[in-house]
Amino acid sequence: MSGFRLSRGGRIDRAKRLAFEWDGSQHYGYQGDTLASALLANGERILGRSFKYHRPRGVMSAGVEESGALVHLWRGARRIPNAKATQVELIQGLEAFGQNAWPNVRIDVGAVNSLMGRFFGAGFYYKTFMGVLGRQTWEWMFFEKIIRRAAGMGSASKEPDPDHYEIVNDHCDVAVIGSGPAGLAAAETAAQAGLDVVLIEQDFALGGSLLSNVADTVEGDTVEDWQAGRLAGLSSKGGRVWNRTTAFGLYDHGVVGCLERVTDHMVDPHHAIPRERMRILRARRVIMATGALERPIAFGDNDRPGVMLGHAVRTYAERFGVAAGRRIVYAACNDEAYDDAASVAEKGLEVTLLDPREVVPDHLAAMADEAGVRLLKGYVPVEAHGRRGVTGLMIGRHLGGGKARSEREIGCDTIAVSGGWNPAVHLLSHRGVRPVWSDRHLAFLPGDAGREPIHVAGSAAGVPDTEGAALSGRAVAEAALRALGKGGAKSRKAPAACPAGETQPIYEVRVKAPKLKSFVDPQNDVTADDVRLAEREGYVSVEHLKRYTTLGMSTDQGKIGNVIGMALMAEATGKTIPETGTTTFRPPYTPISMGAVAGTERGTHWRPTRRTPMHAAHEKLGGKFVDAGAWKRSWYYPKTGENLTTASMREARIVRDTVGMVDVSTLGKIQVQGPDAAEFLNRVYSNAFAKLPVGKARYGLMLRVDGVVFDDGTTWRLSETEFFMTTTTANAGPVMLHLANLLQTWWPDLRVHISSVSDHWGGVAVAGPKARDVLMDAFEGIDFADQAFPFMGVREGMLKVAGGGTVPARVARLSFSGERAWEVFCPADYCPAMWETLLRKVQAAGGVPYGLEALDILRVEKGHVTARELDGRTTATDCALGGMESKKKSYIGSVLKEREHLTRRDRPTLVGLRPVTEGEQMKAGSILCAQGEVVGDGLGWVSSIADSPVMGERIGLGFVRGGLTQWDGKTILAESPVDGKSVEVKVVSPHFFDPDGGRMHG
Amino acid sequence: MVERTQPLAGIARAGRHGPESAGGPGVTLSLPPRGSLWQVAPWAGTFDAVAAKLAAALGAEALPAPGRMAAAGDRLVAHVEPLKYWVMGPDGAECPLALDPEEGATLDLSHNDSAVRVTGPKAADLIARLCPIDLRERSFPPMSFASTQAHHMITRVLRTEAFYEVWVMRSFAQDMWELLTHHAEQFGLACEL
Repeated sequence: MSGFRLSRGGRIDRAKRLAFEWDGSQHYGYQGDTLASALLANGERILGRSFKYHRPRGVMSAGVEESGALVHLWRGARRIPNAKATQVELIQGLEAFGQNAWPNVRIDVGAVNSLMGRFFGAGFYYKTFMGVLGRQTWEWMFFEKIIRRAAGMGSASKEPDPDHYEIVNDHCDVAVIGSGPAGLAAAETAAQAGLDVVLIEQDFALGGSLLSNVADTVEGDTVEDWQAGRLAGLSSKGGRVWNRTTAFGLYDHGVVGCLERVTDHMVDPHHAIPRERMRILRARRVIMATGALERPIAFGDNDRPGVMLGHAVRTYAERFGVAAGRRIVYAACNDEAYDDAASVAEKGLEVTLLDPREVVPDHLAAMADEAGVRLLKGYVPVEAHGRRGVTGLMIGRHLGGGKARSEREIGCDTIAVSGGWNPAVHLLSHRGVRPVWSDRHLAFLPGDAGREPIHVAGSAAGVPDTEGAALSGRAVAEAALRALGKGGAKSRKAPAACPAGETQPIYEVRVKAPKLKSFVDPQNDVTADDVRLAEREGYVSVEHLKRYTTLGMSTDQGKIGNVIGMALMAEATGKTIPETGTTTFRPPYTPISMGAVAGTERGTHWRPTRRTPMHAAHEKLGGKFVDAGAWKRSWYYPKTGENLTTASMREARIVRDTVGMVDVSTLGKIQVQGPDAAEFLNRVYSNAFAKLPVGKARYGLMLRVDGVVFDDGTTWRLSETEFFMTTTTANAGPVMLHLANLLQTWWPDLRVHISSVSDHWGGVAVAGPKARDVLMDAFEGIDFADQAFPFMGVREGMLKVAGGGTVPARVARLSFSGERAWEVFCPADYCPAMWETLLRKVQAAGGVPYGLEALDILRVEKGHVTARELDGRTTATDCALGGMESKKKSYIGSVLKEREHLTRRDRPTLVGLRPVTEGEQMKAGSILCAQGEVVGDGLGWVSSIADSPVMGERIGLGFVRGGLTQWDGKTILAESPVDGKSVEVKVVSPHFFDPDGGRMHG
Repeated sequence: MVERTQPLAGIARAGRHGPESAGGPGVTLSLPPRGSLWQVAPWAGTFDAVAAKLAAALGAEALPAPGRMAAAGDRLVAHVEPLKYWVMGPDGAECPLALDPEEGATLDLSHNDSAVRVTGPKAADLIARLCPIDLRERSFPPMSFASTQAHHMITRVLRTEAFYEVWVMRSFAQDMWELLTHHAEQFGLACEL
């Protein structure tokens, strides 16, 4: 026998029939069903196979704690593994499949594992495949692959996710998590007091426990009227209601991580709507009305299809109009189960209730009697019968403390188990608040939230009855109001935590014989014996128990088995449960999609992209781009048949022969202003800046506090109190932060303002023997004659734009290429016009635009350093720049650069490298070694290489211990660790081309 | 006079995207004309005096509190940092104030940022998909200004009675435009250029 749809009842719309597919067969359900309720209604029993033993599993719960009905949804790229059927909202056309089984969940070959179950106890894999076998790493890696294939759950699609996701920022005064009686009352109370409230519900339907208590009344109203009244009271004050949204984690300062399932319930959503939405909700106060989770009792084969949680059986009947079976045995050890059993019996189903007590309170016995529930006093469940689904239950006489004597089998198709209720304290645990054991509840209650802006209401706080929960919600909302300074004079006191009835401390039923396979955590296939084995092997700390047995790990997060596991460990070690402790529940409360974590940070938007104001001009020229940090930098401009090497070598050659122009807009630019600006720069740079004349630029070298080189660039003095600093592209942001930190925390007395103008100005460098010819007539108000505009000079004027008009420009005579060169900066919106104007002149002079690759060739030929040399490990002396450092002043880094390690004579220092054999090509990153001593990290490394047209060979820069002093003219080896190739190279001066710098001057 | 090149020239295109609804598009994006932006930055010791001079120069009664803006003729002035005001105006507008270095510093930032104007009933919902600031009426009423971040980009958000604007540094213009249009499509998006 199995489940079926009751002829009436349930919060489903029987007028809306929905077709769906389960493992290839078509079934029908109704609007308002979950996949689990629809499958139960269709009589499906085996819906999954267990993690380790591949035991058949059916629906075990009606909520997030589901451990049995874990399924695949959809096909192809949209396939979702491990979906809990109890949480999947049924829609027309839904496709669902069994998982972790072959050929299917009903006939699974992997079930052979179950026969070997006695060998698969806790730690089996470690002991066998890392202990007996697998002592070599390769052996373990070999076995691991096989184990991973056999164990585990579903598999994700390997195709790219076709859906998109987004992250949204939200704010509110009070976030109420859970829309049961406590949550609804709290949300309405807070909203009516004028607070901005968000009510969060993980289910698609609001109401929480009210959904399965349709017969009850609340505060004198029917459940439906009461619920509608609270929601009206909330929405009339602008309160927001987020259903299908799970508050999966609580974070600092009232931040609630929420995941909204936006389109999963839509049959054909518009492509623009994201599948899921991660909401980062910043709440001033958080009210947890998260309810409680029923826990099972461990007894023999308590994982068979048909063994379910007691309240879940009621939920299917009340909320979905589905009978889990026809003959139901409630195996319970708490008073609340009477209500559930009675409710189910009233649907016309045959219900038997086992109570371990010999004497049952009269009112409970009367309730059972009235509802037609057969009550068996003094009995507990011993072992479920029926391999593919429950066919009966061996019951036993309770001897006390869970010990029993098997007595007889009773026929049934469903076993509804209730071992008590665990308040859902998970979210509070995310904040590091430890739950506290209550002997009255036989459960962990929320601990004192301390300074956290969090309140707990309703059954989550140990107030499980509906009236009490509603009152608790109102009282807690008033506490939140007080905390926000809005408390009224009169406010209710929250009802004290009080269980709804008595619970007997029965966690596991044991008999002398036979040996039972009793599951504590069915999702992770952890049995009661595993817990005892862990104890025997010394894993007595709950944290060790959890890791050794996998109890309560992964998606379960202790929802089902934690308390039972703790109780068994407490018994084994002779301690109490509170002495045994509890593990820390971690976010997420339920699994969340990785896509939602990434949001829109995927594809080309995995990080932002920066483009210079002349980007379109480079595209128009057919230029290629290279990623440099976030920037798209122009790389080279190939002619037909050219590649990166040939194009960049041509461009570099033309710069040396005539003239070229390159986009240098990516340089960081910082305006430094104020009466103390010169003093500030003098402290920041290692070389002197105080006396830099107005109208001049200077190369500056900036150290970190620890004495290592941080950044370099030129800084231009525009007036006595105004400087224009340039930084490297890579360090524009870090330098800005460094300067802001210094001004705000080290030297707040300095009157200096710094402002990023990186994007206000765009620039080009015009370089080559004909650069002056190009620029001579291009400007109004700037004389480019050598005397009038000397090297390192700075001028401001107006650029005459092709097509008429002028734009302001800031020009400095600087050279990175080693040629006669100027850097020209214009306000960014004028840069396309500037580029077009100068390009025409450059081309007229026989020149070309050049890209980053040619720029790199030119600077390597000159021995100029970039981030490849200033790599965060090198000092100024290492880079042959030590002579620049002032000995007369104190500056950032001046003390710590004198550390012994940084001043050792055997540090690798900058050298030039040329191949010994013509045509041989060293690689960047090669290890430099003395001949015959290719060991370890050698003498140093190759930092940069360039295929130099003027040298006619591949040249390199690198660092060698002892530097030029020791190795000038000598041959060493450049060993490539990637391909194992070795190139003989000669150590030379890094100044390959025009070493006296004559070409820059004149 | 040389035309200024709008950072989103050739990238932003007029059009209608996303689901249609009877109420019209939820979000309308447009590009405000390129204008001027002058930074006026006093020192701690000259703050009050410079603020008074700036208010007088703009013809404003008083300057706005931090995070707020005030209108003065065809200009908007925003208090963007403890010691910095931004004066936004039409293209080519002169610096509103000449300051002696002992009083403070002024700086032209007119080309630094790219702005997108956001209007429509879902304007704030769109911006909430990018920036972590509280955009609720009580926290971010009209004439508010915030320096925040979106997708690792320094982002400024301002709100007048009529519209929001989202500013990023000019080099990020295309990236922000792509994000805005992507997120806005679900609300029904009109790009009006």
